[in-house]
Amino acid sequence: MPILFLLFLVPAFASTPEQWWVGNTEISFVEAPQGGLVNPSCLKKENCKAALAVKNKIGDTKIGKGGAHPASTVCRENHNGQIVIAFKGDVSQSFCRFKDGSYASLDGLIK
Amino acid sequence: MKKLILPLALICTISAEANSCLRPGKKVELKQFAVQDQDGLGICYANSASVLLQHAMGWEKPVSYQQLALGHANYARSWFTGQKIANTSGKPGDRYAGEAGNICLSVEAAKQYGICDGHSFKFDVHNGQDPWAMQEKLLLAYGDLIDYLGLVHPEMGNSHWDKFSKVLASRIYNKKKECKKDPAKFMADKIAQMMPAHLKQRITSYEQRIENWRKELKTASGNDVQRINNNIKFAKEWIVEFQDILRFVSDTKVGANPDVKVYTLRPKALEELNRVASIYATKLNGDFMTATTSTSLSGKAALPTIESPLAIMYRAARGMGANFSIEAEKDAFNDEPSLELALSAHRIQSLCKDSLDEEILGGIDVPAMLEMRCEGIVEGADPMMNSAIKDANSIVDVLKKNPMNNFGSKMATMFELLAPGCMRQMQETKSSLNKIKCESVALASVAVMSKLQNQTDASKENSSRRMARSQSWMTERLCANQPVSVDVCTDFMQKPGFADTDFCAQRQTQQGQAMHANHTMAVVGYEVQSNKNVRYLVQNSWGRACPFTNPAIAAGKDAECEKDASGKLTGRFWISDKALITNTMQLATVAKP
Repeated sequence: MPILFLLFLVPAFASTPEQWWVGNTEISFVEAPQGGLVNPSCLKKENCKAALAVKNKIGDTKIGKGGAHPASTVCRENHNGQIVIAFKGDVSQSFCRFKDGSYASLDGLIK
Repeated sequence: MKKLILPLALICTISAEANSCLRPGKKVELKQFAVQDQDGLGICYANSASVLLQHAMGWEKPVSYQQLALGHANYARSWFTGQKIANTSGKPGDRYAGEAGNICLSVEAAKQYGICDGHSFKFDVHNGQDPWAMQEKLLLAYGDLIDYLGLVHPEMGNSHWDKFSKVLASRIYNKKKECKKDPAKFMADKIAQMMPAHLKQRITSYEQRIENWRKELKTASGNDVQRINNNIKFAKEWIVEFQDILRFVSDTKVGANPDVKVYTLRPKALEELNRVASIYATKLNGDFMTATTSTSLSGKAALPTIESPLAIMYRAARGMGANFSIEAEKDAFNDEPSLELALSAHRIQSLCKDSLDEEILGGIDVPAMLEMRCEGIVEGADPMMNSAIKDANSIVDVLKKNPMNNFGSKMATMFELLAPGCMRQMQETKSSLNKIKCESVALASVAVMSKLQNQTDASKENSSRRMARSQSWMTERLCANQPVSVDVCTDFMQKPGFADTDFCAQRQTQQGQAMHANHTMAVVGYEVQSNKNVRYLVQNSWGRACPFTNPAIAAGKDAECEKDASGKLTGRFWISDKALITNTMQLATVAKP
């Protein structure tokens, strides 16, 4: 019975926040329901650019100059954003920084 | 007449003794020496020498192999640079003296500097335990030194220095270009602001490793379980350490995006960082000051670059009661991350200048410069290129004038600081060590010889004679209870057949060079089987591991890894005389005083 009760407490979609670092800045992310990492506070807002970009993924993409990730072109050209490389221990990952200061992982921007 | 009879009788006695040594059923097993783990360090010669020296000195405790290796490196370096130490008999060492083999050079170094037991020098690793997480740092330190040995060897000549100077100039040039583009990027304060992130990354990195080790634990067994648990334990300690530092040094600020926290360095911490940078820039007593926080570490002296990681790690691990530069609760601050940042800030800032000043020449960091070797030079008419070439030439001139970089005196400082007990023993043991004698015989491995082109029948015959001679040489000494060091090419352990590595074969062909293998181990026993075949008991220095992956050998045909009563590997193995001697290039032994 107590186990059953605990199961009800677990929300339908739960993602533990994870911390990434860009320079001397620590940024919190959670996995968005549509896929990709986004700031948790951004997911709760209506017009947050990172969350909107992840919801409305772009399908028709092109590989950038020098074989760059197609999502990097999407970040720069479609969202007027800036690519940043973040670190988590020994792992690195590229993110898009939107004009309103929110962040989304590059893989979340494209279909 | 008596004069004639006595030597004859002696010869007969020795001969009879040698024969009895080879009678079927004869088995000699010297005591069980401590299981050593050289890990990734290329210091097998020191491991093997430590076994032979322990035996020769009649010690119960193991002789420190790390201390021997440092002594060996220092000794070899002094040889190369023409600052030959008195009482050495030989010619200048060969370029590979810092690598495999040559335990007699370690013994000579031991005579020069003395020895201490492995418990007094905490960097030795026994039974696979590395409580201070030192091996990685030591690997870097020895690696740098070995590179440097190559650079200073007289045979390298001016062309090598020229090449070195060019790659150095290239690196400086690139850095100057970067500086010009974005000078602010190289400001020390700006770099310093990255320190909290640097610490945080370390914490995360250790957390990730712990996670991986926990996964490994699920399938691990035996010694691996203990090793992994130790790793986890030490990683947790590091995390606590770094979290402490982080709390002390950093301020955080939350911006408009509540998920973004900006870390900055507290003014007090920044002040301290700059102080460390200025220590780095100070020239002490005409030495080439290469490091570091050591002034605050000891209050009196400087450590050379290659030792600083040892000192810093040791200190960070709270291994010593040194006076810290910031009082009380702030003592954890002045550790490796701050040092790295301070050093890089200072070094980079200096390179940004149009020409190198006295400071940077005084702070030449040889290992860091050696990293630059791999970069090629880009010729150009850029005035910055001329400035870079000028800088590089200045550095090379300084190094040429004093390639030793006062290494010996700084090494002594390190011992004094980190291992006072060891230092005392080193002084005390010198006189007994002077009475011991290291004897060696070069063999030219049969397997290597067979690889060489144009090998004549005569030289093949010589090879088999050499093999027989080495077997008898080794057995005689073991029979007299003396361990023997074998300098081998290790391919036979891992690949089918008894082939040697190209590594060994190539070295063999280098004219004027001494022969070199790639691993050294100690033979600590032998057995004559009923069919008169001989097998040897070998003490390796790879922890308790069984070293064989060669299918034939692993199947027990030619070798067998020893296990204790509880079924645990002992780090020793039995091996047939053929398999061992075929791949041996040099034998050595140390006679008791």
